[in-house]
Amino acid sequence: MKTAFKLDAHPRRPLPPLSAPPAHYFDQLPTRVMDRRPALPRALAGGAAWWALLPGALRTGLASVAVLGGFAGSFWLSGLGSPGAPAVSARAATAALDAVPQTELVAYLLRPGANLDATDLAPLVAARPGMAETFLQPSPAELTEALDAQAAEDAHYL
Amino acid sequence: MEDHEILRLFHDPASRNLAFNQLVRKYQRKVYWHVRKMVVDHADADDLTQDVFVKVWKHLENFRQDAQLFTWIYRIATNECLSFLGSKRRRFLLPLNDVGAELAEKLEADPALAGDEIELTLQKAILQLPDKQRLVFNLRYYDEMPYEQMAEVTGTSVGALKASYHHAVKKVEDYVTRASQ
Repeated sequence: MKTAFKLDAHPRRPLPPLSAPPAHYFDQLPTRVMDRRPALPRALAGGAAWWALLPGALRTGLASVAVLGGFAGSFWLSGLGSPGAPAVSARAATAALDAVPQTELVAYLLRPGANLDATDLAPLVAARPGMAETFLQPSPAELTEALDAQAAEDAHYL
Repeated sequence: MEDHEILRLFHDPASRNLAFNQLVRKYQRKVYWHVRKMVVDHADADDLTQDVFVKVWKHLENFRQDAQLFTWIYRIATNECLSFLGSKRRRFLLPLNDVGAELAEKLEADPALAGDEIELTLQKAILQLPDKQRLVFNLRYYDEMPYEQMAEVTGTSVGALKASYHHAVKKVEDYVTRASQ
């Protein structure tokens, strides 16, 4: 009976005894490899080279943050710069309006094309009841006549 | 030329080709024989060796030097071999042993093994191992690579590699013993 084979007892070779590659194979291989190389993508500019070194997940995350930040920034800037935005506080606006002579205000409101109607004046009357008496001073008969002439939906403001 | 010098030259576009040529010349034999041990056939080993270096060319710019350059190249070569054997198995719907049998036929046709029955039997025994275990066996037995370096190449723990090698040696010894009786 033969003894069991033991790998340690077998002469160890640095390589399996396979046939050698063709003559000059390793002299020619570098040239063949060099010929097969695809063109590398153009190197990124120095400032952007770090981007290529980041892991893919981190690059995706940073890109998302940049996009969202861009939206938030543009929204904030558009709010600051829009012409309709209040440039001064409400208190300053009221003070400035108080300084305008009443005759000028009336002239402005009664100018052709102002198109003011009862709807525009209703909030003022609600805020300061009786203010109309300072410049209208109508008689009861005139009031009754005016109310009768108003459409129902406008009358309830007065 | 030292690895760090090759890498330094590679990162300079003016000397990139020179650096890569030096890299191929430095590592071509190791890569070729690493691949050849896995696929046996010279033509397959030639194709795969070139594929390995083309991949090295494509990705060397992003090599982070966390590992040694050669370990990194070995890992690429290992993955290429395992992909090649796996795709061959899938393409022909072959079970595990049939690829080993096909490789064994190539071994028998190799004139370098003619007349050396015990060596031929040993090589056939190695070819019976599953691909990954054969890879571990080759790295340890032929290349005498330290387990820590093998762990970097294969992405497997040192403990698992030791166990795999131990089982591989046992299978090889049993195969040769049975074949000799």
